[in-house]
Formats: sequence, C-alpha cells, structure tokens
Amino acid sequence: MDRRTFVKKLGLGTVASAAVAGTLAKADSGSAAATAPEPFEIVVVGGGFGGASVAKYIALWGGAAVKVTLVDSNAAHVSCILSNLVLNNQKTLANLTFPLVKAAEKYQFAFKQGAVAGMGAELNGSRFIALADGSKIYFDKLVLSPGIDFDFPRGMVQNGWTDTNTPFPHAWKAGLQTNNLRDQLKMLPGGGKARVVMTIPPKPYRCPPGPYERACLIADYLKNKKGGGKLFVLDANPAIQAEPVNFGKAFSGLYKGIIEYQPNAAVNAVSAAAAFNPRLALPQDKTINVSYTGALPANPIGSGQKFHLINVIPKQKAADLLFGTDFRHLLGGKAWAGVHIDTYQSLYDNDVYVIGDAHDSVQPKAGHIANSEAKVCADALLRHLQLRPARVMPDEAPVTNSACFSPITASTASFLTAGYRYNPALDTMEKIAAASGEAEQINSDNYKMMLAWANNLFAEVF
Amino acid sequence: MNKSVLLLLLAIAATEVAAALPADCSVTDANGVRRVMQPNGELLAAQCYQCHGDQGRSLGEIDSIGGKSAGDLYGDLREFKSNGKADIMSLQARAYRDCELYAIAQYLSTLPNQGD
Repeated sequence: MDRRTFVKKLGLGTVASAAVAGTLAKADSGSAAATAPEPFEIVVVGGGFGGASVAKYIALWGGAAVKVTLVDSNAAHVSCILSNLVLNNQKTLANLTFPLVKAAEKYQFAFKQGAVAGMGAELNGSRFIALADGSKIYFDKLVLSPGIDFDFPRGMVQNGWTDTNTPFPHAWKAGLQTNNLRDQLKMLPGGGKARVVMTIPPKPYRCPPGPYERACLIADYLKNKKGGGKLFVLDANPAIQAEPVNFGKAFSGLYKGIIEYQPNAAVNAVSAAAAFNPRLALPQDKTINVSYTGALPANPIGSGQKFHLINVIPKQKAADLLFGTDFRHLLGGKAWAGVHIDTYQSLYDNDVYVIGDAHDSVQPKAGHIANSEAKVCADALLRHLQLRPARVMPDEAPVTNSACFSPITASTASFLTAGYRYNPALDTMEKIAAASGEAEQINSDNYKMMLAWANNLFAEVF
Repeated sequence: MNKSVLLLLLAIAATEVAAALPADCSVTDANGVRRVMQPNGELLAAQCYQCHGDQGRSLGEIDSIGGKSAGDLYGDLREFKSNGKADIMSLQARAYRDCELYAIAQYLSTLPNQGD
C-alpha cells in the first residue's frame, strides 16, 4: 500500500487527530458519512479454525474501518477436531461440517469460495490474490491460514486412487478419507485376526496427541468389535509426543496384547495389491518398509509381512500453497512460514501474516491454539493499521493457550493443556510450565467435557 | 463534616480502590518510573471463549462467564491459580499475572449476563 492510499484510508486530512489517537475505527464512520474513509481491505485465505477466527476478530474489532473477505476453495470446513470419533461411529462427518457462508453471516465478514492461484500487484502498487477463476481480490493486509500438506512415502499415492478408494487413507485432514478409514476398519476380519499398522510422523505435525488418540480408538474398536487383533504403532519419534503418561498407560494396560508401540520407526514405502473396495472383505495384501534407528523392537516389521490395514499419517510441511512461486518467499527456505511470533506478521513480507499450522513456532499445530493465535494476530494487525494504539509492553505481552481432549475409549478421555507467553528478550513464545499438563485420570467426565469444549469452540469459530 | 476530614476520607477511599488492584499491576519501566500496568482485557478475555463460548456464553456443561461480577470472577480465577490442582482451569489460570486475571474479570463483567 502506498502512503497516499494509507492516508486516505485512515481519513487523515478530514478527521486527522482521532486517527492518530487510535480511536478512529468507529468514531468517524457514524458522525460524518460524507468524510468516512474507505475501509482497509483484509483478505484471509483458509477457512479452518485459524482463518475463520481471524476473519471474525478483525471484523469484530476493526468495525467499519475494515472490510474482511475470507477465501477458501471449499464451501465448508470439516473439523479435524473430534474426527477420530467418526472412526468408531460416535460422530459423522455431517456433525463436523461447517458451511463457511454461515460463519461469515454470523460474524459479519464476506466469504468467497475459490482456489488461490497466485498473488500479484498492479502498477500502482495495489496487491491482490488471484483466484483460479481469473478473478482478483485486492488487499491491504493478507492473512494466510492454509494449514498443512504432506510428504508421502513411496507407494502411498497412485493414479486412480481417490479419497474414497485409496487403500492408504491418511485421514489427517477430515473428509472423505475419514469415512474411507472408518469403512476399512469395519471390513477388518473378526476373531482377533485383524493385523493393522499405523504410523506417526516426525514432529512437528498437526495435533500432537492425535495419532496416539487414534491408536487408542482403533485398539478399542478391535477389542470390542473384532475380537481383538494386532495394532502396530510405528512412531518416527523416539517417544510418545503428547500425554505420555495417559497414552503410555492405555497402550501397556487397557490395550495390552493389541497395541505394540515401536518408537524410532520411520516409514519409507507402502504397497497394496489393489484399491479399497468397500464391498469386499479387506484383503491382507499390504506391506510396509520401515527403518528403525537405535535398538530394534522385539517384533520388528519386515517387508515380507502383510497387513489388512496400514494407516500412514505422513510427514508434514506447510500447505502446498506456500510452496507456490508467489508465496515461497514466506518460507525463507524452510518447511514452515517464518513470522514475528508476537504478531504473526511475515518475516519476509510486511503486508502478510501467517497463523495456524503453517507457521513456524514452538506452539503446537492444532485448531484450538490456531483460534488463540488468530486473536493475537487480529489485534496486532489492527495496531499495524493504526486502528488501535501501539502495543505497550509488558502490559500486552501476547498469551496463547492450547487445550485438547483425547478420547481413549468410546466413553472416556484424557486432556492436554498448555499456556504460552511472549518473551520480548528472546523474541519467542515460551511454554509456561506451571500452566501446562495432562489429565491426572482417564475418565468419563473428561469425555463429557470434550464434547462441551468442542461445541463451544465450534460455535465460537463457525 | 469539615473539609479536612472529608479529604482524609476521600484519600482512604482512594487507597482502598488502589489496594483492590493486584500488586503485580505495578511495574517499573525502562526509565525506572513505577506505573500501573494496563493489560488488554478484551483480548485476554477472548482467550477464554474457546472453552467457555463466544463472549463467554457457553452452550453446554462448561460455565458461562460473560456478565458475571468482576469480583466473583477474579476471586474464582485467583482460587484456581493458587489451589495446587491440575485440572484444566487451574492450569490455565497459572498462565496469567494477577493483573491480567483482574483485567479479564473486569472485561467479562461488562458482557451480557448469560446465566449459568
């Protein structure tokens, strides 16, 4: 944005002093319509927990001084939160699907469905997002919340395999692959004969407790619906990454004899004889190539062993969008976008902010904290536009929080929570040890609170 | 009542109001000047809404917190912070300075009351 435009949008020259005092957002819009400045145009890309939340709070706190447009290639967001409960039929995808046009109406921003093709600037300096349909959306500030994409092991993706029929659904973005994985579980043989593998990627990945939660729910399903069976949990990390006490207890107690947990196990390749056919019994035709670092487990998996179901949660990186020509500079050569962690403003582009799973920080990659980051980002972005007074430190040191409930069985759950605070001396968000921990017990109260938490979070965002 | 007694009473009242502010609201800036911190209650309170609902209006079993008395809210938050327990709310309360909890309570008290 050039200075002339900025001044025009701030309304300097007509209601100058109010703007400088940081009170103009609504002050000059009602009283003098003839001199009302043009609103700042804010574009948000990605309608998940981060993007929908930041659109809401910029619109709420920016008032008439901003015009917010949320862009997503999908008409609705399907929540990853609670999506493991689709696997054991406690939830359906419909329960977890949130039309973005409704969120936009509820929280007063615009929604545009479209795939982002690029980013550019006109000769006069006006910047825009280009959509695949050829249209452009101009912005003064852009917030990206595009989430994650994957580095797949060899053999996991093939021509002709779709979300519905791939034999290897990761189901790590909620959607048709979640139903596919549910259906494959249903088609497993009974009588304790099912042989299943799931793999956990190296950190960082979306939802640190999520893979362990999924392992518990698959083991619960095998135990109660399939007469037992075997679930090998291959973790690329050296140990359980979240709630180690509760998941450790579940693996070695509740699911003893079913779950075999193998750390330091990285998946190189998978293979299957055919696509998934939901009308046929699940064939024991899948193989996996694993590299173990350090000591071998008691029963290492060799390439000759065959399984009915292999659920690979692949290695992760920032969304593919950020690896495109027009956005790649935001990565600074890394797998995740570099930001000023107290504002989420890009290290490499002052008009762009990146929040949620795609940014690089010590904060976990998950929906609840993406919503928390969105509030800090919305506040900071409005300050950068001089719509709020400059931040005073230490009074307004950003604080974010993470909370997540993990089902352990079909009726019990654990939880994990953490607080993070900005340390200006080190320019980093620091985990607050006193505010972080896992549930002392796995119980049914946590399961009830999980549903109450998710319903409030869903309503807060969508 | 004569004027000097009135001034004295006003001074005591003012002291009491100041005393109600948590002690850690007092900070010394880079120039060595002591001042009262002013956290952004609106932003901090928004960090409660993930669990307690938009504007502190909860849909289910978790308590609504919007529109409750600032004194009660601050008292509850201080209790959570100091109770030594490890439930989510007790852990979360320990993420904040007392001054921030005070600002959160003040802001939440200005929202429409949603009942329990």
